[in-house]
Amino acid sequence: MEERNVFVKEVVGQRYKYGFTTDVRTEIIGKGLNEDVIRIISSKKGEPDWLLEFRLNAFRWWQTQKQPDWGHLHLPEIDYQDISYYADPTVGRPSDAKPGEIDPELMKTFDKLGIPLEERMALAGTAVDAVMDSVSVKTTHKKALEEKGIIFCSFSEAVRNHPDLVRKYLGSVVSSHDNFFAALNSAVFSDGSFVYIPKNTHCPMELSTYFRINARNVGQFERTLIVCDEGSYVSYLEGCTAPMRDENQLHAAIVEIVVMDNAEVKYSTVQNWYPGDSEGRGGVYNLVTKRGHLLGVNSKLSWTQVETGSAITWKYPSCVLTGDNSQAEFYSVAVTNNYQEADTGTKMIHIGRNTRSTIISKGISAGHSQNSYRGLVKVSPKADNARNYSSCDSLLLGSQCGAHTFPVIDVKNETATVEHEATTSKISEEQLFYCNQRGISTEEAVGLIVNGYAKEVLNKLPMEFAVEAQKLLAVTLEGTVG
Amino acid sequence: MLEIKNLHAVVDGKEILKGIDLTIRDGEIHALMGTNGAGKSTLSNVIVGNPRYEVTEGTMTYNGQDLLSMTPDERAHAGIFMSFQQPVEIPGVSMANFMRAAVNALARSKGVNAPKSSDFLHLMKSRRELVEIDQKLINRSVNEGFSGGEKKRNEIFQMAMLEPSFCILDETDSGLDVDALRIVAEGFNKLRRPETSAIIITHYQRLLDYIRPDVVHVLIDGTIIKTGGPELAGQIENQGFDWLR
Amino acid sequence: MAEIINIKGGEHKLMLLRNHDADMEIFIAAGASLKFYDLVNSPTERSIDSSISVTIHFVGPGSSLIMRGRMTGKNDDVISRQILIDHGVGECKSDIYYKCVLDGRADAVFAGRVFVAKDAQKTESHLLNRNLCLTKAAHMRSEPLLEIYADDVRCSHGSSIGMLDPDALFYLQQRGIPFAEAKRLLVDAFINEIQMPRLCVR
Repeated sequence: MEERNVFVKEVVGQRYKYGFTTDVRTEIIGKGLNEDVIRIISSKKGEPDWLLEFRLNAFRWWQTQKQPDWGHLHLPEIDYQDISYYADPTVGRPSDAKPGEIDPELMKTFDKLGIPLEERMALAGTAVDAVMDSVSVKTTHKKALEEKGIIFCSFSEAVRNHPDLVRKYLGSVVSSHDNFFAALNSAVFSDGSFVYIPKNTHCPMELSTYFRINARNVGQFERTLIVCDEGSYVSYLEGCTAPMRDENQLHAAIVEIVVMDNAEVKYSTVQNWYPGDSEGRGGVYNLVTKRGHLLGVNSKLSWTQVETGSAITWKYPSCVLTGDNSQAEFYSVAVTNNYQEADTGTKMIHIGRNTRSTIISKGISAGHSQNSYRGLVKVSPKADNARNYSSCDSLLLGSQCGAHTFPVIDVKNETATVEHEATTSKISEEQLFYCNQRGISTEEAVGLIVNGYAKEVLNKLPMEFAVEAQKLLAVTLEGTVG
Repeated sequence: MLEIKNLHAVVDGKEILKGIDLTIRDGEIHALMGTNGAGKSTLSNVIVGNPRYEVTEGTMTYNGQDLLSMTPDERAHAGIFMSFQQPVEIPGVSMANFMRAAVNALARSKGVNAPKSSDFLHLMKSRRELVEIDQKLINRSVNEGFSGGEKKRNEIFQMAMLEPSFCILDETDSGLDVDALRIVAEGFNKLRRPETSAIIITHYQRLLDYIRPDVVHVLIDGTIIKTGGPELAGQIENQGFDWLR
Repeated sequence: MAEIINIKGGEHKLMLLRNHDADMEIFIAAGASLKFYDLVNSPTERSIDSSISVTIHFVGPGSSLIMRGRMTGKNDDVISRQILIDHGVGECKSDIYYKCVLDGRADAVFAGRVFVAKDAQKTESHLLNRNLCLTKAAHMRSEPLLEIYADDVRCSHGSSIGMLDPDALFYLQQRGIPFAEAKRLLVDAFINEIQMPRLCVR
């Protein structure tokens, strides 16, 4: 048995190539959650009083709430007192280190993840904020961005240097009383990224945050806030990985996006948290609230997500279309294998006139996994001429998995046009055979066909991400058919 | 050399092939004619190992290798290619990616290095020109939005890319106009090496005017009832099958 | 308590003509086929409340279900349909199509859930709900749900909520048809896609 486990780990290890741990001195506060812990986190970050109040207010409300159970998931009752809420892997820096100098171990970690942090090595065309556990390690290309007036920094730094902006928009899209996990995040959030694009500015490079969980028994609660001012444009990418561990890890994040008049934001995620092993042990609980407010007229927001990781995913990147003529898109590929469970989708809330939204969701289930699309399209009485088109397809690989579609369409305006379509089927044997006849093995054919099936969504990703995502899909599904 | 002995096969519980004996030597072209539902397509699908068809009896070897114990992709690597009667569409998978996967898999099976990107693209271009297929089609997803004729031409293009030693043309002529038929047939003839052998399934003489068969078989109700020379095809076109029964 | 109906062998038709509450559970045995018709014709002079919950279980293979709903609501009508199709066994087909036209302040909910159990292979299920809202005060909510645990299935669902096509309205007017009549013609064309059988009342 022992030997077999080692083997299983090796196999899974090959599939999940980000499963290593970094040995770095990390300061972790004791397990448990109470007002004192929140005060400690706040004081460690040197936060102003209003932010501490924001946290405590969220915490008090959170204590009155129950963990939601409406998802099509087997999310266990989490013991919130058995988790540590703050881990700082940057404390090991020698005391004589220059400002901005990073522990070589952390450098190596991000190098291994394909995210070089040294300025001269940094990815061209992409500025990266690298966050490990509760702390931002480094943000690249900052100078070049500052010249254009663009703020891209860790959340903690934004609180210090741009308190007015943070105070104005924090919680304006996802209130601290929005839901259980959002309240938890609002109480204990540690780090994340802050983006501000000033008026009439086309952000010259992709902005990206890479989240890494490293420490054991520590929850990660990052917070991202993006404000795109009038007439501006930004494309933002988010990536995430975690080591392989037998116990589950909690990740409860919030992303808030504000889009002003004539502005456009593209937000892409490749979510690759550790999914657990082939027998369902370990993996990240990914419980995330993401929402954009299309506040301005003619504003645009598009969410693109490729979800391959996490033991449990509970995530609904949503859009509130307040500005007249605003346009929102949601493109999603969610792949589940082994014992993974995903309940993901979107909400499109049409409030302004002539608002448009598009939802394209592709679910792929394999192994013993459960994969659900959950969506809401709501047209309020004032949203004249609102349009929505939704298409949700599910592909089943194997007889032990499930695929589910739970859309709700709620219309209170007679000029609205809302259309939803969904299909569920297994992978076509005819297509598999055609590939086989051309000499392509079944395993490779599955990868090809699934990538083709997801193409519409993958095409929405920035180029470098799309290539990575394609490989990820194929790797996630290795050994599922044949 | 393909050798089939006493082959029986079942589809959806129904016996379609009832004892086929067939030997095709290297370099030979065999035409297979017969009524609809006689088992022509079943025979070709069984040769390439379509899992929908179950072989219940008999043997089948190609160059001494036992085909029945090989997976469809292994059979393809052994040099067997089928031009499908109705090629399936694979949305989102570009022709270039698809061919790349097939060419690389073939190289792997031979233990040689996969061609470099530039060489591969060059090969695509030269083979595309051979069957006069438009670049636009190659940029699309596999068979998606192709007309019937374009699909058939695309099959021959793939044959050109993979250079098989044994080809099955399953009603490749149906749905083709005269010009397209000529292009497809000439493409096949240009690709053909002295040792290339083939089975050509057709209802009409006109394809056989371009690709001269060495042997013509008539398949009725799961068995080969008559075998003759090229003149047999003409007789069938003029007189039908009834006189053979 | 739900009314229980057992459908055994052969072809059956069932028509619901009730503008009031009902709760029923139907079991379809192996090889049987059921055509289920659901008609709501709102009267002009008063408002109705028609809340119906139907659960249909497939309990044997080789059976089929065709379900057609035709609803028109006006005034302060409240219409609610909670439909569960339980494909507990394989090799069954279901085809559900509901259309609804809402006028006045009518409020309607269509919740159709298709459940395919783990071993219910070769299930084919198609669910469609199309709705037309004619006024601002009308409210439509559509929840077509698919819950699938078997892999060898072909399932789809679709839902739409929309208004009359202004281009079509204009086209008819340009041909001299008055607005009100043009509107009626288009509404009729929409709802007439769902045909009810002549008469077979249960």
